[in-house]
Amino acid sequence: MTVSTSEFIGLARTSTESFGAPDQAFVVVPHPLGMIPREEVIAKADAAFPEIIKAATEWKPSRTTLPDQDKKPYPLETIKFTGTYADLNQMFYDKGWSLGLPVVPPTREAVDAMLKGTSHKPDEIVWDGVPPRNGIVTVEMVATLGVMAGAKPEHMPLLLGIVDAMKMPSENPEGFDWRAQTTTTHPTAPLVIISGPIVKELGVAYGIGAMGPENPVNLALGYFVNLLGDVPGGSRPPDADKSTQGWVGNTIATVAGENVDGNPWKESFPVERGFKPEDNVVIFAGGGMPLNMNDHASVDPKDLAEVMANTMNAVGPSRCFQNGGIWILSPEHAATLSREGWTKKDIKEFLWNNAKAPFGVQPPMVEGKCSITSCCPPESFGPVTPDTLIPVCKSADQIELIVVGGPGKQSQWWPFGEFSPFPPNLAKIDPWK
Amino acid sequence: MRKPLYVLVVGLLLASFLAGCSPAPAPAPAATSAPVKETVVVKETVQVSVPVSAAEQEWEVLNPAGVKKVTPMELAPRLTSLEGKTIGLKWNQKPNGNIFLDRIAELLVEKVPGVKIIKFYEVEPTTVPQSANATDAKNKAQLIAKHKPDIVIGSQCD
Repeated sequence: MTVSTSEFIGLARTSTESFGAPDQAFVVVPHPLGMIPREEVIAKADAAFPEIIKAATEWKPSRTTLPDQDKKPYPLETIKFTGTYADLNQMFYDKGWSLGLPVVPPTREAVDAMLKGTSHKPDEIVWDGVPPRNGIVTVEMVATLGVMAGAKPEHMPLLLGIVDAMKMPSENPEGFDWRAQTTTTHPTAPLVIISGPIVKELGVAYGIGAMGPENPVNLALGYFVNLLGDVPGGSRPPDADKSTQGWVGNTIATVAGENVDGNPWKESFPVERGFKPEDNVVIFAGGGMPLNMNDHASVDPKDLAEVMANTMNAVGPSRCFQNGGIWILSPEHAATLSREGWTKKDIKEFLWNNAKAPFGVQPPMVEGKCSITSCCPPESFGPVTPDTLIPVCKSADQIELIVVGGPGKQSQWWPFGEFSPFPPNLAKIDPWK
Repeated sequence: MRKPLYVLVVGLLLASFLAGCSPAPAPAPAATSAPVKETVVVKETVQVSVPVSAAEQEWEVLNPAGVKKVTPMELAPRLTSLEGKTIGLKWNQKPNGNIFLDRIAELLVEKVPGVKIIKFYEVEPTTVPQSANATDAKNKAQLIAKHKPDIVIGSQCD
């Protein structure tokens, strides 16, 4: 039996269904339970107790089977509809098939044209359940969502590579998979970096404005990512996607190319991970909204790195001993950091040793217990006082550096908190050609 | 004419989208203008026309939601009484959920004869943090099942 607050019962029921249970005993208490005084929590428990006894001894499931049980994922159902283009878009939105932005109609003809962009068969299952709804993704569905997003057939290997990277479980056994990101109240959203020769071949923006481009390729890929997460994945507000406020990254994911030309360390991010320079690779991560670092003055790499460290130690988004994050470095900031021969490893070590905030300003424990948002250093860290400086993540290896963007002195820190697959997932694109 | 302004706005958006987000052409097309066809070039070998019309037309489109993966789960047998039963309490680290469950434990002991309470957040503390992924969740469930509770009451967010 699950006790849920009234604002989260929809997500609780959705999760029950997606885990395969036709129904579950629920007891609903008025929202909220968190951030209220102890006596109010006790009063809510007292009021709920009779319902808990009743649910434990009298509840019966309302159904014994689930929708879609035994249905085949291929081919996708064809829908006939009469109306204007605007009417069609309204119908898609009403059914939960779009995100409110216009879509290109996924006609059979358009989807078949998209399928010519890959050698893979349309009935191949490429993701056997996108959380939280657990929609099954076939190559045909990727083509369909790609058409809707404005992608073109030559983008199919990229779209399939993105799916491949998104579905991967984190390499880190403690790393969260996709489900947590899609349902949390935290404004998490995907971050996709494309690396390799395909960036220039297909016109993926990697220079000026690459992280928020007026570039049709990046936009189509970003729209595709969120259509995938929200249509087959079902991560839509207000019930499955519980983002308290959210941000535009929840509608169009951030997609950019790695700027290898602007990388003073020469090796691309995938090459650092053992890939070859000629490999085309999707780097997939996800995190909270980025924090911008605006430093036009530092000449010494240490000065710039100190500003970076003090950007990272913002306790709201980063907190202590979390999963680190990715620095999206502008080429000019990267050049400054590398000026005196600093390697990426040197910078990560510096940031790890300096991105710290006092224990006393962190989100507190609740009555001495470590809650989900508390700063709880591991026992091995030793005793702490309010003045003890606490690192934002567990190790220097949890800080990644990728060069993206054009001229200018701006870089972005993407803090990953506790809800992101970390390290990022990497998937090759070429096998999907 | 239905929803003329909406048709115009959406038409402009789509035209801009298909044209690679270049500025929309001027003058803007009227809502009743003839259907517009944009051409998509597929590796310079296949051409497909995507129909875009401001007028009513017949559409045949694919349902992009597809079907859900369903792995049926069997529900545990229902209880008719809690007397003499072992009741597990599962906290997920959300603030105050443990206080809520502690109070439920007090009430159960007070009002239900012979009940045995297991607070998994004390007995099996590794079950407390949110599950990182499906494998982690299964491992936690197995830890709980090891204690053979008759029923588990979990507190959710927030």
